[in-house]
Amino acid sequence: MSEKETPLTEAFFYILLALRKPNHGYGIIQEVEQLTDGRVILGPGTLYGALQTMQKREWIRIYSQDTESRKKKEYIITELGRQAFETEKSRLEELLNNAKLMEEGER
Amino acid sequence: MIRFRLYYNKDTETEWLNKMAADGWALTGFFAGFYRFEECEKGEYTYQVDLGDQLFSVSSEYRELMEELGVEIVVLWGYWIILRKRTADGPFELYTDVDSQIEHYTKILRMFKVACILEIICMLIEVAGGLSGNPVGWAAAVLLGAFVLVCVNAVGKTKGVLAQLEAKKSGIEQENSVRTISVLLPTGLLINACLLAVRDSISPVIHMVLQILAIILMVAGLILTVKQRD
Repeated sequence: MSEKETPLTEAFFYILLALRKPNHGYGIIQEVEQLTDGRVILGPGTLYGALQTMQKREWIRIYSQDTESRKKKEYIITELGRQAFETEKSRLEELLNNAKLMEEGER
Repeated sequence: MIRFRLYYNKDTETEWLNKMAADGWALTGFFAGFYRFEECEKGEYTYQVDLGDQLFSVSSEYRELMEELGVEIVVLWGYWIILRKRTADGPFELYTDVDSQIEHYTKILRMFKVACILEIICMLIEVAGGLSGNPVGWAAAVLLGAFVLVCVNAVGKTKGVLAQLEAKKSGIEQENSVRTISVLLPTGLLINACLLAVRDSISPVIHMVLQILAIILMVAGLILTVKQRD
């Protein structure tokens, strides 16, 4: 992903959201698809790149490596990741609040 | 079935692999331009080409994630990764948003630039070999020169793709930079080739002067070409 950390891309935003609890690759894709009503479907390359970048930034970490049944790597958000998410949330709130000014103009 | 192709563009390569799969031929192996195909049901697989971070290998994380998503790693060649997924398991596209597409093509661009520089260095070594009287050096140098041109064009094409993606992201149509290889470059190569042909019938001094001129032309041409695109 680009070097700029904000604003978050949609993919980053939704992956962080999906990792509020431990989740694995396919689970992330499914949850993001559900949350967005099928609008955002993450490709494997996009997901892998985002997971790598966010691990480098320490926004997420590997939660479990080897479960007994099958090898499925799970990830979870970190405190730093939550901060990044909150920053983005404030930015989005500002946008939405200011968007209300448009309604005033219509009256 | 084995087919020989040289691709410097992963998009046309992907297109070709998917066309082959649609005709019932699934890629199973690759070696230095030789693609090995085995029969499959028509359209059984969808192929995609990725660029990795390691030579001839991928991280265990990459491998596990692809496996989890039903994606099979078919070929590892240099930094290139050829992947496939059963078409019945759903659509297969590696990069699904503009940001990751930009990142992907930026990586490809960097790879081609490095390849370009390495080829130029090799070419200059061969030129030095040629200068010291080894005719094979000249032949190799001209060949490498051609590879350099192909690589330079690949850089140009990739930059074009990136410009389109940037335009898609920002919504601002960017003026397409002129994409031509500076005329100095082929001129230098041409002088080189001529010198090769007449090397025994002109005085060594003239030969040397022309040789240096050719090298200067090629280097200048390359710098101009690269600069013009930045």
